[in-house]
Amino acid sequence: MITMKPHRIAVVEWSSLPGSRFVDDGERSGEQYRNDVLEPAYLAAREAGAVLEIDLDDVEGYATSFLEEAFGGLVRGHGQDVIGRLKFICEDDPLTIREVETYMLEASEV
Amino acid sequence: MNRSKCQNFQRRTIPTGAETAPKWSFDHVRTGKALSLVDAPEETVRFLSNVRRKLEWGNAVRVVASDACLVTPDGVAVTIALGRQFGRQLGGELPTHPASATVFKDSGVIGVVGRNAAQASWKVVKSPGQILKTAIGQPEAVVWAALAFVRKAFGMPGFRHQSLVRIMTECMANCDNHSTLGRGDASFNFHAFHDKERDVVCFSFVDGGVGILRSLSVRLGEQFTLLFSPQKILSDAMHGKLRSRTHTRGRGRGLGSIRDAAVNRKTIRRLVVVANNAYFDGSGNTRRLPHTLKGTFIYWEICRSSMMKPAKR
Repeated sequence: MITMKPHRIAVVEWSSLPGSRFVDDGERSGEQYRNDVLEPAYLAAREAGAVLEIDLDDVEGYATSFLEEAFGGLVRGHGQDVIGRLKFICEDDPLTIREVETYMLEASEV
Repeated sequence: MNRSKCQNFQRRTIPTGAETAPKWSFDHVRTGKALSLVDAPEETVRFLSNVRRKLEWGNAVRVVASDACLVTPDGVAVTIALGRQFGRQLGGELPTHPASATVFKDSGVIGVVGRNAAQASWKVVKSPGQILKTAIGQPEAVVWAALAFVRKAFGMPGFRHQSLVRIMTECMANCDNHSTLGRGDASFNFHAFHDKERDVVCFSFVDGGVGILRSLSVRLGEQFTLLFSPQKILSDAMHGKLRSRTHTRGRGRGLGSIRDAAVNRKTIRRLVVVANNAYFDGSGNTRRLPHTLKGTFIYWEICRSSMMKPAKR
């Protein structure tokens, strides 16, 4: 059971305008975010036995490919533990949380 | 139509007097009563198909829009995009219908009415309409330009529109990945227009690639496209039912998310997509068009109420 104080990151601190899927697609891609920010933060939270809170608010907008590659890609790399350890905050558009969770669930299948 | 007769009759040379001056041949292409992919896709695609054919022959085109009484910004945008794709500025005559002529002028082009080919040119001007970019790469700059345009149009500095960012990113990614079947030399046009009367900002995205249906036929096989109608295939793509050309897990959601913004989230209005010879709109209407628009066209509108509060930062 995860009981420690949650670790927390905010996407807007990395970029206010996240890009597309892969590094080859351009700057601020989902792949770059996963490698530079998300995965290290997840590993630190897992090491500490804590939840990782991810604030999705205050950016200009997300492409589906960014969200899928960042969060679905993390599940593909680290398995189902990711799903229970990540908690999302998005007051701007709560539907975004459901969207990200769908990508993570689909990535955990097969 | 007799092609050679048409060319001979309409070919003109700019009287520069210099022996080395380039010689241009102009073909006149007349619009119908409507120049609007959104409101009259059949008629407009037929016109665009005619323009494209002339441009493919290597001629300059003089668009005669004098009969048009229904002109929307997307019709002007897609015409300009076609000229740019062939590296040509299109010349022509403005509509005589006052409201239609105004849309032309406010869409970022101005018409110089003249029978002389040398006078027949439209040039891009600073106006309420704006061509945001014809570009390869630099998607971030295009999105910032669009956001700035919308904020200025609505007088809401700092406000955001997440669906606009999403759709623009999806359009550009889709163009990069599919419009050239992965060759990577894709180019596109975004056109923004502030309709003050309805207080909406209209966006048109046009790429001059192979079109979604052609891309799918290469990916899924020609037999697939023979089994289903083009409008059915486009509709399935817009519902996210078709996997990505790249066969990678988690792909193929971009077009579905554009439809989602119009139908479920309702953050954009009046979505219209034309790909090859298929038409799809946000109300679920689909139909087959009698002519083919080579490439992909996506249109949507955003209104003031869908703007989001400024970021807390």
